[in-house]
Amino acid sequence: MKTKYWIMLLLALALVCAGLSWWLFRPAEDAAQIQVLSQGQVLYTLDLNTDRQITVTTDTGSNTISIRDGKVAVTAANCPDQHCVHRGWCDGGAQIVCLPNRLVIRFLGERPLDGVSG
Amino acid sequence: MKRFVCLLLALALLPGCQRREDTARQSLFCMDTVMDLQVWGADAQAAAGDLAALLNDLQDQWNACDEESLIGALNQGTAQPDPQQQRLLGRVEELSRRTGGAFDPHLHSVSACWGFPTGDYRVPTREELAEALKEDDWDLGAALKGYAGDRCVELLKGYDVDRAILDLGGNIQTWGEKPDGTPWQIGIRDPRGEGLLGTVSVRGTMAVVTSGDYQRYFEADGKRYHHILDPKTGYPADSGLSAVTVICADGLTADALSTALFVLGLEAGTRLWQESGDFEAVFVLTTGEVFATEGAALSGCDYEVICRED
Repeated sequence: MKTKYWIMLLLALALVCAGLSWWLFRPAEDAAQIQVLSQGQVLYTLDLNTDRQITVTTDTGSNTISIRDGKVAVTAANCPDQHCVHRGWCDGGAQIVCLPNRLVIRFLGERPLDGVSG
Repeated sequence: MKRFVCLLLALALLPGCQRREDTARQSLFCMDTVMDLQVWGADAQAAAGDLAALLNDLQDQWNACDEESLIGALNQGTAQPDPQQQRLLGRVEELSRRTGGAFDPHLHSVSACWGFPTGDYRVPTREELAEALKEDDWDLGAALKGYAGDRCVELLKGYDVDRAILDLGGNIQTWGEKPDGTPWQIGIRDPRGEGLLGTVSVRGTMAVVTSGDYQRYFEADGKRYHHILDPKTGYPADSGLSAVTVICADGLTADALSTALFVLGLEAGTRLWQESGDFEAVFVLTTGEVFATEGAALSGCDYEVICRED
């Protein structure tokens, strides 16, 4: 009787361990997140599900990044070409780049694609 | 019984022992574009750092706008290339011959007339272009990123890394295989929008390079002038294409051919593919129609397949 009790306990423990290790070591599923990089360094990792607005100002320039309804856009920038602003609202795909200001916004998460050529 | 329980416990803990793969991701501004390097494996960090250093070195050597660079000195006749550099110049000339001059590594003066290297855009006169076309200054701009991909692959072979995917400003260079055995999925950007045109599947070490009229251009008097210049006229190539993607195991070849095919257009480009056996291509016409060679493994869009003639 006592042995059976111990077995049950150990089994339960084993289950908990299995669950825990699965949870702890599951592949990072960071869908719907973006990273903001300036001059190659990650400044922010942001959740696309939380609306917000930030302005990144460095010695190369200034870009205002807005997150709304699960999408991100550069809504203002002091760069000469404004390519980053013209890109508009995005929720994935190729990274948003402001070449003059050395700013990159890249999409994290489960990537069905390994890269984009273009 | 006790042994059985121990075994069960050990089994339960096993998933936790799974080796987490080392990865490194580095973003850098180089060769007037943004690059994204991703490397997997034990030496990933070291390899990514050394890749970035290599790319910066190549930029410093081959930036035709910099008179202090190697290529600047070559153009002024004040330096001699070393054997490795000589080999690159030889291969570039060979690719120019192979494409009947559609890929031309001597367009620096012509490109400068339009202001593409500096961003001070203007429409030059016919006379200016005629003069510039006579110059033969080296400019590897149309093939440098492809060559850089090849050099990166060479470097990776010396490290304990499993695989890598390098985005060299829209030139995708793959190396190795994915752990689940599936091919690399590389999207092709839609030349007339921000989305994707489709996806190509590639295996192992491969370069996927796109030349498009949307990549660098300016507008003047309501007309759009893009950066892929026709070596015959000095004007932006007007062959009815808006983008060409080349898939080839050799990055330098892929880069030079994507430019050449864009200049040649669909018909002449198809002929070049028929004569060759080392690349596949996707052509996007200005009308939006898509044509892909039979080995291109393009999916996600409607297109016409170009087949080999018997």
